[in-house]
Amino acid sequence: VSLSRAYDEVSGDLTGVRVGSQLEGHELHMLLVRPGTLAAMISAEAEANGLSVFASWEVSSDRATWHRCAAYNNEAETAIAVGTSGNDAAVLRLVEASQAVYGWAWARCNLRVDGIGGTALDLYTVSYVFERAE
Amino acid sequence: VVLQSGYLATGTLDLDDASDGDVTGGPTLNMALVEPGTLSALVSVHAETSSLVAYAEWQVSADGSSWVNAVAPSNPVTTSIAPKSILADADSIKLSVAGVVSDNDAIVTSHATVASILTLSGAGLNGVIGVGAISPPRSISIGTTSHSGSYNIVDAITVTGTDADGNVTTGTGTLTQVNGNETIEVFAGADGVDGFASVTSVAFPAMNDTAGHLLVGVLSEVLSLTALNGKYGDQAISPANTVTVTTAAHNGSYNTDDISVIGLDENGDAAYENLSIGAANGGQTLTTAGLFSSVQSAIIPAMVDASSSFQIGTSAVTQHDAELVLPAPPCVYGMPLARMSVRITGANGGSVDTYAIGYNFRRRAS
Repeated sequence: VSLSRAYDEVSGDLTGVRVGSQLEGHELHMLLVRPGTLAAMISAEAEANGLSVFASWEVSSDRATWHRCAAYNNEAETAIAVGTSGNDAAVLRLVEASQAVYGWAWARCNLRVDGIGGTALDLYTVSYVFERAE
Repeated sequence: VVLQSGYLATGTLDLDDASDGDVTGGPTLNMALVEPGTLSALVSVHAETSSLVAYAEWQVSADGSSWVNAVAPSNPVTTSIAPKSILADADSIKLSVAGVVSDNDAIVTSHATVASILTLSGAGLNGVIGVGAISPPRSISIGTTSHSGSYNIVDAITVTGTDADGNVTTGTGTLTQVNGNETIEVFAGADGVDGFASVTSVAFPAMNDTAGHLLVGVLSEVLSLTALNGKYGDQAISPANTVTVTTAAHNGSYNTDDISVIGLDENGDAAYENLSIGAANGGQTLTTAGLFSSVQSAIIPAMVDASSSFQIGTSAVTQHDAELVLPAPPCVYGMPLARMSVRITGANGGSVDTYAIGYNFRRRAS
């Protein structure tokens, strides 16, 4: 068994990420991944008061057109981190991939910003965790 | 590993034969082909008929004739996929921005007319802003004092400077009153709807005599694409929607001139609408008559004072189109046949209500 952790890790801040827009995650070739094992390790620190950070999965056949993945029953996403008026600690979550990703060639986990736009104080780290396909 | 993409894709089909409550089954998938844990359906729905609500649901069957809904362990309520109500959002295009006040000699204080071409630059731009940054970017005013017969009303005045992105830009305007006592407004760019983020020179044509006086200042606030910081600021408005301008209530702060909204309509053609502020005390929501698929700039006239403020947003709208990738729940892998289906409620389907389904999965090794 070959486990990949902190795969394709990327970090930074949310400067310039507008309300309703998203920071696109690294594109992961799904033939690397054993079905049922993919997740995204996300650290999100929402410092700006009113800022909400959501994780969402997308899939693609060609890396050009991306489709949003829903849950089995298309339920709404919940924010990973929400900025308050005080000091906000980073929130660490392992976010399971939608089961839809395993039948597609490419997948990525994006961070979507809502409430207010991101700032230089709003920090993130995203990496992938999975078992490599044999 | 073989990936199947768009397997058994239906193309676009209508729901004309579906009645309220009916389930329309998608193509039947032989689960022996599918590696467990890899199946999903790309579902597109257009729900146009009034009151019609569409749901996408996985179903399984042992014989291809009797179908059962497949659900997650807690039997959660299935969320409809179309239509979707989108609430009005007052600042989805531009977050709150304060109004600006005109300053008629901020670039050039009063300068006597001359009977030959006059180009002012550098120290010649001696106003309080002069060659400095204009933030936010604005249109430029050219003012004339009253004097009989002094002004050239044939040849254009050219203002050169930079736009919000730092690129060199120019704008032109021509005086209309030979006897002066007027103010004209000069915008930047080929389309004449951009603002100046700085002025580097102003070139006047030869005037009729030296008895007049010229002033150059700043006027309307021009919100270009880079200043539109709402969620639709640099993105398409989908679905196309009417645009709103909301003015905060403040007594006597507002100039009642028009605000201009510039962008593309629902067909992608250029669109330009003027909205009359009309009320000096603000507290209004103004709405465009037409639909916009994007806003590229907005022009807010100079206000009475800086206590005025504006938001630019979008109206409430119904989104009739939806496209989602829906994973199959694990329970489908124990059945020989599966399919994605579309259930409608609230109204009978029509030819305008459509769907498309295709499957993606890893093919099971033989």
